[in-house]
Amino acid sequence: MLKRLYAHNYRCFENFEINFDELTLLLGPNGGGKSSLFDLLFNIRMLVIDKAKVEALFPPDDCTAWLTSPQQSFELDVEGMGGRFSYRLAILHNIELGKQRIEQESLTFDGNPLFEFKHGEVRLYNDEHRPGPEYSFDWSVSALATIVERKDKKKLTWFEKWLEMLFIISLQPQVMTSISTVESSWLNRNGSNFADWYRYISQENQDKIVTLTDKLRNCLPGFYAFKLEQAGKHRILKVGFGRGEGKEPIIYFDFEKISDGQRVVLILYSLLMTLQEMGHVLFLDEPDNYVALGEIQPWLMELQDACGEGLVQAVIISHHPELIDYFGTDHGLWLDRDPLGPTRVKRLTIDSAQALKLSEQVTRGWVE
Amino acid sequence: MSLRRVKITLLCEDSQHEAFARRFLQGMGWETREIRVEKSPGGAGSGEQWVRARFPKELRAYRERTKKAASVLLVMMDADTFEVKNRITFLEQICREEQLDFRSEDESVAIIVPKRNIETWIHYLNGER
Repeated sequence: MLKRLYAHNYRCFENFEINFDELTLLLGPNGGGKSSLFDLLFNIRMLVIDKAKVEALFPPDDCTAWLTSPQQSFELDVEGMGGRFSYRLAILHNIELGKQRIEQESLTFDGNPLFEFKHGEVRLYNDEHRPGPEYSFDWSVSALATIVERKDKKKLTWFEKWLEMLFIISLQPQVMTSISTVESSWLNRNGSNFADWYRYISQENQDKIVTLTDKLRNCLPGFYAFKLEQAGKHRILKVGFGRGEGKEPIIYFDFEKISDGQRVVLILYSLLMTLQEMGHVLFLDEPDNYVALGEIQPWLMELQDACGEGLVQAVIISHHPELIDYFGTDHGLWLDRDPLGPTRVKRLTIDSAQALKLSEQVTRGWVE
Repeated sequence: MSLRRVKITLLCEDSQHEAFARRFLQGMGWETREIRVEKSPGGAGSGEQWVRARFPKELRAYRERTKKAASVLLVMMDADTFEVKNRITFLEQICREEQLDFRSEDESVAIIVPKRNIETWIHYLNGER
């Protein structure tokens, strides 16, 4: 579980620190830094898991406009394996040449070293934190990304797996396709490859598909089942609807032919039902978009029940009154900033005598 | 996809009340989609006044809805330092102030008053005395 994130000199983050719980709702005005937080996590994941070059992920434009330092610093504290992992990343920008390099990258467990990359030199440690090999490495990519799984590096591997299992999602139904070309264990940020991801789940975790189908039949009247239909080299994801209770006829529609809202609801339940017991952390940016008003709270209840049990952690961004009123009091963090000022985060102070719903207090700008 | 139709409105103080009542309802066979939760914006330990103030509005809504389809209003508030009957009387009083008839025996309006509070029930159910 991600416990803490620190960022300095990245967009609106200056000495910014945020702590997370099993369930966290990020609230606040537009431009407060909520989506930048997700972008940052997404980029760190891309750097370490997808081995992307630092220059592609951390352009100089993303340095904080009012700071002059050429260095960006990031820290992630993650709870797991009975202790706390601390990942640190420092990126140095050469403004004149427009180049970036990884100045420092390190991973510790309860303060003891597992991996260190500094000034182009890597030093590895085993699970008992005894020093291992040292070697020179390319400054432009993550050295952590290249370390292969070994029996004496279980902690380091655990952290990499954790990072790999971050699902950072902001669903855009317009770009979703019915066509599956490959199986994918990863759902793209915009959900465009849902068909590929569903295909992977249906191959690797068939029991979860049974659970998901049952849940969707309960949640979405008329839903019957998903079907992957062979079409040449590819497969087409179809969604079957009937008149309920399994009554004939069942009509199958291309996934991309059903409505935006239906696609989003299907994906939201798919995420909830299939990611459980798999160690995933879910970051969802405005999951309420496109979803009918009456469908939001039932999904939130399912999410609340899953969090901390089957699902390790969920962090959600929303401006929707349904989410604000359901989660805001217990799980809300408010991100805000002055124009040209850094993002600050705080827990909301809830006035116990307040007659207004939290969403209405937010609407009126009366939150403190 | 057809419209979700709520059958039970749960009016309660906080998330702990909600979790208890909702899991009880689910255990009785109700689906998540049939339940609507309305909880106090004040959070844990501060919602009794909010529930009391909100009760007449929800009772009116229940009566309107019941003309068209069977529904249930479930109200949950801690007894705290009061007796259970006092808490129910407070709800009766606020209805009187708003010139609204209190619940009658043929109405599906249930009032749950954990004494002293929901934690007491949870401790008891966990085997503590």
